[in-house]
Amino acid sequence: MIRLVLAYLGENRLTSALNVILLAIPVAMLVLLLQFARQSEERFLAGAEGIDLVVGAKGSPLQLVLSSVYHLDRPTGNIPLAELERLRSNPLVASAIPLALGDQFDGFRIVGTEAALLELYDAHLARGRPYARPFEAVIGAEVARTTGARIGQRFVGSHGLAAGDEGEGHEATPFEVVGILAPTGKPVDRLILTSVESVWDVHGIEHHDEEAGEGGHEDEHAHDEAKEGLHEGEAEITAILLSYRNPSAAVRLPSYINRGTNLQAASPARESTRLILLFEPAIRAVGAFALLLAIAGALAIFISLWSTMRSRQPDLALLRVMGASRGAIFRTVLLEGVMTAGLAALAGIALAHAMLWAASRAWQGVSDAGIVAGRIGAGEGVLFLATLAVGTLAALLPAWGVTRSHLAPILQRN
Amino acid sequence: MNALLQIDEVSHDFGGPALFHNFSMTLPMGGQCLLVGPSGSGKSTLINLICGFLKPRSGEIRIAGEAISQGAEAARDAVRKRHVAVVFQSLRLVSALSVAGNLQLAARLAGRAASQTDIALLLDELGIGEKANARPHQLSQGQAQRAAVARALIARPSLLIADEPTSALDDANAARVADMLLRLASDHGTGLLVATHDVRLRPFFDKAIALEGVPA
Ligand SMILES: Nc1ncnc2c1ncn2[C@@H]1O[C@H](COP(=O)(O)OP(=O)(O)O)[C@@H](O)[C@H]1O
Ligand SMILES: [Mg+2]
Repeated sequence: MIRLVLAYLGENRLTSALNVILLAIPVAMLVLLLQFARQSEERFLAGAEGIDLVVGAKGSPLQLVLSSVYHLDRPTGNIPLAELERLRSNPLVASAIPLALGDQFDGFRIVGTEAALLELYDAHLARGRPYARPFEAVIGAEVARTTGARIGQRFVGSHGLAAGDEGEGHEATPFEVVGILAPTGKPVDRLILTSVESVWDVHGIEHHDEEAGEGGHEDEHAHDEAKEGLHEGEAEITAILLSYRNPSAAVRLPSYINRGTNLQAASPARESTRLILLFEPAIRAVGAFALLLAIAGALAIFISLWSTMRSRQPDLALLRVMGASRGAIFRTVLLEGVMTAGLAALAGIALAHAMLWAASRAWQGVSDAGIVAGRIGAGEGVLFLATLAVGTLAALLPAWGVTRSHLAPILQRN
Repeated sequence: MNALLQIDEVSHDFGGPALFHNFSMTLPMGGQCLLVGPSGSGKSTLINLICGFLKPRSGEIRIAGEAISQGAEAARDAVRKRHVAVVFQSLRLVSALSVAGNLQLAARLAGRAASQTDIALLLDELGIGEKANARPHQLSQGQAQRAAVARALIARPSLLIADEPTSALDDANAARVADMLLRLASDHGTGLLVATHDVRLRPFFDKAIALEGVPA
């Protein structure tokens, strides 16, 4: 019977292919949606892992989280270095990691920080060694892959935080790559890490640090007074990543910082949940559109089966003459719908993953967002079964119609 | 021993005048019979009754002793499947399958095993061995009819029925088809019932039953 159904599908190749395509498109859309939603959510949650609170300048909490956890948005401003020590001495704080932003190389942010950031992201050196002296840097896997930078390579950072920023170069103070990190799938992959002091030095900020060999270096560039990042003046950092010492800190610390100080505290978990909620209506809308298309696809299968069945009636009558039961005829028609839908589901899933794959090659942003192809999960399984159900439903009425038809008149006519 | 086909006082109509009234006939195992009558005399209707596609108003039809004129459709289907194969005038092969594919499907639906060799031999016997992989639309009328006969015989029926097998043929070809059917039926030990309005076939059969039809 399966061979007969295949033969029928093959006989109406064009219609069958059209039906498959019509149903495959919404399936592909739903798979894309599923993948985007799941992978970006996973990515978001992984990126914020271990960071209970972000402390920075007053402004939008979402912006603070985006800029200092995901390194996507611009910072809200700077805060005095002294705040770091004050927070570190707070008994509610388990750890505090400073971030000093301001420069970028080839669109990748140069982050002045401490070794603890690597532990936070569970990042390990694939090659080289940690940065030790000023103007030494460790680069993330994505940075190494994209720029082709190797150990020992020197590069000059420029002011601003994104590739499009037309900042001046800090030619006088080139960085040297001393280490390359293994991929982590977290934001650190896209960062260039160095010491906070190096970032200050680039910007000619006075600081009193025994390690700073080239301390007091003069910065001859006059930066425009961009709000973001560091510029000349007193020792400042951009943000602090905190982890709590105990659960009660989650209740007391944010409100203490937000009300009692000039700083802002934002929770990555809360902000990313808000962000995901922000996307939800859009995801719903696309999902509804895809469902509409799926209904159209099902309707196409229904209509073409219905009309094929009319022309195939003599054939099916002959099958009955040859000994096929009504049930068997019913199953052949049903199977035709189910197989069309099954093919469409497979084609749609394959199409979606091919598109993901192509998109992650073509647009940096897609792979930056952590979207990769080929991760087929339970969602695809459910979608596959749902598509089969749609095919079954579309075939049900034509199958029933054929099964009900009386043989004798058809045979009489022939 | 049961007769191959036993029709007892069957009456049938389609709501109008009766097509048959208390019609009876018998065909012994392996018997051959011509059912002749003008167009509209009820030959095809009788075939539908014999096959169990229709139930008669009254009377009984038995094939090899099994009633096919009563009972549930599935039961009538089963009796037909065991004993009868039909070749229709234009309804011959499943269009989506090759000739060999049709034979294979027919054998499987009839619950008979048929190897590739069986199929090739039968097609050779009917002179269309080289058409095994052809699709129905690639066959000539004559070839398609032979393929349909092969499709019927592969199910190894005890009764082979042909409805109007010669209606569109010239004398020579009509004679050839009649000869072929009679020879194949006796070679395969199958009973044969041919329904036709074609009086040219009358001399080929020892036994003929005439249907008068309803006087207009
Ligand atoms: N399903 C049906 N409903 C009503 N009338 C029918 C049906 N089938 C056949 N008839 C009528 O019964 C008569 C006999 O038809 P048929 O058995 O096809 O004759 P034949 O095969 O001898 O030409 C015709 O008048 C035909 O119109
Ligand atoms: Mg007829």
